[in-house]
Amino acid sequence: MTRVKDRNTQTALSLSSNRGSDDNALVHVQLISNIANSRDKDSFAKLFDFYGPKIKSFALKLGAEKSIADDILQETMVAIWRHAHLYNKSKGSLSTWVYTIARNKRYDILRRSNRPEPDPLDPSFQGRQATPDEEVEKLREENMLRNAINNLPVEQAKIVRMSFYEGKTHQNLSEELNLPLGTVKSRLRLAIKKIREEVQEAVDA
Amino acid sequence: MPNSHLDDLILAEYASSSLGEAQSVFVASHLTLCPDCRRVNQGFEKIGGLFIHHENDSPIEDGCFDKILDNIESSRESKELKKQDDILAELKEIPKPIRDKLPESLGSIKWKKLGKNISFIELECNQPKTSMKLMKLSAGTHIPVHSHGGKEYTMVLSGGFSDQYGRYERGDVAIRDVLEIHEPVVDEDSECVCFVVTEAPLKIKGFIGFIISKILG
Repeated sequence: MTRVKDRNTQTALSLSSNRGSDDNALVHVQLISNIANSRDKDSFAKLFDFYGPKIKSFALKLGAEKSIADDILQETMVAIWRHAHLYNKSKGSLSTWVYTIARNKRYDILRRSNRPEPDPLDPSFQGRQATPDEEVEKLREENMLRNAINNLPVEQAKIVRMSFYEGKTHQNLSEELNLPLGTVKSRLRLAIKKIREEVQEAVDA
Repeated sequence: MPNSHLDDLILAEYASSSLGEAQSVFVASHLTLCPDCRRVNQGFEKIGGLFIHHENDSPIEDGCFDKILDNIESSRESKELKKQDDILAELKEIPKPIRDKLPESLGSIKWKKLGKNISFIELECNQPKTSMKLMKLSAGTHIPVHSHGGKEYTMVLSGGFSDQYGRYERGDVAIRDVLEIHEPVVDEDSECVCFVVTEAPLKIKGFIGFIISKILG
């Protein structure tokens, strides 16, 4: 099916999927590997040049003061250095890994406690081996997600960004967008449904 | 594997860390037991990854990178030691996000009794008006009909219970909203241990209910 995008529904987010972005991702995987294997500070500096200014922007999203945003940035980069050997490219892109570290550091610093997370080493952790098909699908998933978000109408893409990425509560969204709480939730549900349908469509294609 | 799962919206809130402490412990504990919801959570984290990759740049203070290098060089890299074997057998079934909130050393857990059929442990929670508890209910216990001042999140850790909305076993979650009234009944053949988060005190009918709700919060 050919998707024809209406100019009026063009998302303002434009998560580009150009060749440069993909090349960037490949270079970043090499850089994190250099850090993990040989504690290479030049590679670390290059990752800092790319991610540092973005992590700072992310840290400022919830209204953190500049000094706190700097703390979040510094702790995130220190964790990237220390845990470089834990990055597993079969589970997702380096950007997703960096995002989860920055998100956790923001939680830890703003709430002064560690973010609760499932721990695969926990005796009660219920594991399940991914099937080979699922592994392949995981690697394709980010491209599919990017296309799906780019195809969302502007108001849905905006609310997805504010909720999924910026970490705003539904109540915050209701106040900032001047929408009833129920509308915020239904708009998010609709966006998730569309993203899921589009990803499924791409998997089936 | 659990049969009753978390809703997309609460998983999205967890993935972006906009949930409160108690609700985060609840979601992280379900994710410990539920590979299906973990997969949804990972998908939502990838959305965060896409956005940070395409984020605008903010100016960085001069000397920031040098400070990071100083930090790396001056502090020792501590290898995290995992406590595993010293976990009491009865607590191995309890997901780590909950164990981390237990009030005392793992060897001296004391259940508080509430009548002969209910006992509970209050977990440390710094979130206003919200409580986190482990509850142990004897086989066949009926909890009186109640509604809620806020949401009530229940996850079964062992045994099982039923209410008018369904039946719940290990890992299953039941989230009841303000206006939802229910009357849980524990399975007849074994006791049931649950993790319960309440955003406001329960509203239980009658004088006995009043006393129970004051104690259980």
